[in-house]
Amino acid sequence: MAQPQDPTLQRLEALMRRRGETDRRMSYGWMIVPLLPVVAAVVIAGTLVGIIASLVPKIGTLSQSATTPTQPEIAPIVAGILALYGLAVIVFFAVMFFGALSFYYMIDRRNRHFTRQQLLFSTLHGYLATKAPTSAKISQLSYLTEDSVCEERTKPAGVWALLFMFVTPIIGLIASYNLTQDMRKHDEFQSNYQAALTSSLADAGFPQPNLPAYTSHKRDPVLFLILTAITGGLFWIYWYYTLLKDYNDHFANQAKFEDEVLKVLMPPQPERTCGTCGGAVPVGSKFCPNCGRDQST
Amino acid sequence: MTVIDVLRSAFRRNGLLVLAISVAFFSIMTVSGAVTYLVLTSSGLANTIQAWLESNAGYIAIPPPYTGGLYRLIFLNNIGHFWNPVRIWVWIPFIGAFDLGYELLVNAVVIGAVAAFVGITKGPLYTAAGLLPHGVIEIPAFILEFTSLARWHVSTTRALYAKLSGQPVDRPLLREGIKDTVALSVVSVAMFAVAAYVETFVTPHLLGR
Repeated sequence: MAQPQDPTLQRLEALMRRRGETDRRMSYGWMIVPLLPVVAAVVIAGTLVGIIASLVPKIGTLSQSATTPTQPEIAPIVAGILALYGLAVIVFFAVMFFGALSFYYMIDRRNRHFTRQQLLFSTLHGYLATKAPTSAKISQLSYLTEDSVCEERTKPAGVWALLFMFVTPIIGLIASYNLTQDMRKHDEFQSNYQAALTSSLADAGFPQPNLPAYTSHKRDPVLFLILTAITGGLFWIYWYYTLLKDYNDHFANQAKFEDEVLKVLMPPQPERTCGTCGGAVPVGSKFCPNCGRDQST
Repeated sequence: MTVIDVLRSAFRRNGLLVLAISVAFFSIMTVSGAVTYLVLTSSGLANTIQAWLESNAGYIAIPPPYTGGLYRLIFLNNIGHFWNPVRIWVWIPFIGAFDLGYELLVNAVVIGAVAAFVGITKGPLYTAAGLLPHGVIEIPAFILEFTSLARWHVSTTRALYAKLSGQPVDRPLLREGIKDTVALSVVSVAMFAVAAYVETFVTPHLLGR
């Protein structure tokens, strides 16, 4: 894409490009965090019952024969119980470690996304205000951005991750509650901003952008909290999935939204024809956007 | 608004609660049944447990089938959350939800384990005759009871949180939540009454007792 001449537009484009670093999409492989304890609990409980069950006939035999249990009889049982204990300890530490890491990433990407978006919307408002200083709709963009700065504050991701290591289930629930609540509020803010921006662009004399339809999830964190308690923790598996999915979806929608807004704001670029494929290439581009061939020669 | 309308809207509003509780209950029950089956068949412990149960049957003071005593025992035990002082604290907002979670786990694990144990010792037909006729009413009643309690916790927790944080309480939403709680509770109690009747007077007949 050719560099715009206006420094504010350059700033806008730079902020939008920064989304690769801030709007981190997390893999669904992180589902191991809620699934691992459930699977481990079933395996450990089942095996433990099996070991105890295998003891019953042995105890009967031993008491009848009135002999001291020999080492070969006891050794496999002790080894089995020790192995289970080891597995439980490993799973416990794995859940703590991966859980803390996942919550660090979740809170960190939330912080970075909110901060970048606040900067972006503030710059966008400044740019539009120069085009139509008296527009009430453009003033509304400013108020919305100020609200976002006040309400969507940075949370210490490292502290939450450390707390998760020490008070795993409680901090996990509180962090999940906060992340769901934040996304719910952010959805509302984004929806209002999108509506105000469409009118503001018209006031500033820009064509209407083809913005993607905004879908708000409206998940109720109190409902999710109670459902997690009432289902013995099983609902947290789904809740955790929504935390991964909602933020990933939001970042994808946000990228489309920003591209559309930038397309409207950028002045039309003069184009030339690619010598290889015949497609349109913006002036100043080093490579053809259609076939990827070098255009410097 | 008729009673049917109230019930219909209560079910529509609480679809997620019913679904989540059902999935949790049936998945725990299935896993418990499978684990019990694997453990009992691989260790040969089923016969030992059965022998122990038969030798201690005289100590278990359960009223005989076809009696009002058995009906009252089953029915009052199943609706204990509504009257029994020991179990009524599940209605304490938010805190009680954790006790419900524990109860759901215990009930699902026990039902799954009992079904697997009876299936091994008496065969699948006997198990089906012993559990299905009242189970098809009792388990949905159990799920509805939990749904009504979950709705109560969501509504009261939201209102309390609003009060504590100095925000206005959404009174229409709270009223709607309480109305749903009452509607679902009434349906669950009625279903428990029918299930207890089937368990007392129909199931023993099917089992040839």
